[in-house]
Amino acid sequence: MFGSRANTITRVFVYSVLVTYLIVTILPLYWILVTAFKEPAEAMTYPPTLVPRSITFDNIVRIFTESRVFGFRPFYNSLVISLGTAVLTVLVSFCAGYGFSRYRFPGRDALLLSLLLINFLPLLAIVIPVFRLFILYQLYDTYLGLILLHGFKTAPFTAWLMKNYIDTLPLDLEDCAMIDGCSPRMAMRRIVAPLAAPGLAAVAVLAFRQAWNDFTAALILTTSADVRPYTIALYRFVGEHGRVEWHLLSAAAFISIVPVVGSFAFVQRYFVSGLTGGALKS
Amino acid sequence: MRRKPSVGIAYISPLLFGVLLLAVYPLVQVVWMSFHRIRLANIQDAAFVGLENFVTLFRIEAPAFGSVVAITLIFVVASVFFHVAIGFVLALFLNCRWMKGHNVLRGVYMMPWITAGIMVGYTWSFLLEPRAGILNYLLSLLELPAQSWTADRSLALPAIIIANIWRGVPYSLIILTGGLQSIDPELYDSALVDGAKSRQIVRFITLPLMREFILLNLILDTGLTFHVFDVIFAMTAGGPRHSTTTLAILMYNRAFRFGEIGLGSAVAVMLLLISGVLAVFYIRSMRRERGMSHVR
Repeated sequence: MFGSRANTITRVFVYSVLVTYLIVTILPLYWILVTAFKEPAEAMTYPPTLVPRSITFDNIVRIFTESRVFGFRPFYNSLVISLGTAVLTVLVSFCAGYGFSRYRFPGRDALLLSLLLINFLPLLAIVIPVFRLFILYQLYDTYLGLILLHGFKTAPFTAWLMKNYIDTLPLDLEDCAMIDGCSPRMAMRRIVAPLAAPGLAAVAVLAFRQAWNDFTAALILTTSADVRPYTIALYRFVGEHGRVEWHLLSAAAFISIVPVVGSFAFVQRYFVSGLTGGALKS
Repeated sequence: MRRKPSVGIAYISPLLFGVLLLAVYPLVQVVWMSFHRIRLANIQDAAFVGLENFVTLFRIEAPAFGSVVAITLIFVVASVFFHVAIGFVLALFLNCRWMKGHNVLRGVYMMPWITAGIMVGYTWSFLLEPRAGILNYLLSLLELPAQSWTADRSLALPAIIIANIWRGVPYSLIILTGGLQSIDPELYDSALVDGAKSRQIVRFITLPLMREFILLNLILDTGLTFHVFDVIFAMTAGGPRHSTTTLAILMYNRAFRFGEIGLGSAVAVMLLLISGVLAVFYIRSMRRERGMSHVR
């Protein structure tokens, strides 16, 4: 198993374990996928059909067009909140990562350590005071409130990620630019930012996922249909219908999963090493 | 180039400001709130009641606090154990040098982790649905009786645990893969030359070298699992008859369904204490990491 070759028995054993868990991973998602494209009648039949006999796009269309069912608005809200969070997180954690990587100041190490602790702080434990704060300062039931919360929930971790990333970029490039008359700020924007682009992309994806997948914060901190994301719409959809229309629920779920899977596929290679690198190495 | 410290502080100030406002301040505030009687309808009014909220928590009979804690512990221990165990086996097998397509496989295994928790909950509700659900269909193929999973008091907790295991395995897979990749393959080669069996290599090389990573995985995952809310909320919302009410669900119900903000804060403080204990372990394990030795 540990050599660069393996005998047949080992191979069969290893692959069969991996494939078994692959099926466990895929089956629930596959089930959502096929149900999203089944005719309503077929989605209700028993026994369930593993390979769909009918294929229709009606469910997807109905999710977007019938506002009684779902509508476009919740997805739009989620998109605004998630993109806002991604932009905020990228800006804040790039600046902080640059500051931590390139400057030495009193309290720097203590701050870095406390960021790790803050990252460990669960949303659920602080959401009650945040709720009160948002009510008092008109951030309750706004895009901005959720963007700030998700952004600063993600930023302590992504600032670490950026610090580690910028640490690996050679200082000489910035120094040369500054000798040639670049100001430090220009060097940061023109030299460090482009070089750190892969790291920034990973940060954006992480922040996007945090906001796009959020249910808890939106449940507690929003109330109107103008702001509520699709996760809440999903919840209300199930709550309002005594008997769940699984083909519609599956269609909504399928739509919601596409942006995250797409963006992760885009940065996956970097991501697997970047995430652990950020958490473990300095 | 000389760099002025004050400029560095300016660069990190947006992060500091946000963290102070949306993490540190609420952290202090929630402790303060747990000692006050506050109603949701009138959130600015707070009457100091000392430890009354905590006493009330222990007095409430449905759900009894002891059983909530027990359910939470079962949920956390079972979830974390399987996350780490399954994650370790997958990471180990995917790391085989002769393995082909490991990047594709790893990508697919990641999918539950990037799926929204509320969706994981509904997906599993759908699979476990008593009439049209695919799991009961599979049981019927094996000629076993159909179960009404999430509506059955004794099966609801296993059901949410299964869904949560499915969701969390990829997280362990990422961390442990990082650990495995830090091991020098030459160690394996020399062990193989000496005639070691795979089992022995895992036991005497991989596991000892992975100790720190497994520990880190246990700590981080335990911290996350204590606060799982959306998966449970979607599948059972704490029912039937409180059989899946964890601390997280209890906090939400008390604060936002019954409007007892002070009581909810008391539960939140308990969640914080758990996180605090875990954080101590976390910092210790991070310090032992070579690269972190400069952080004191």
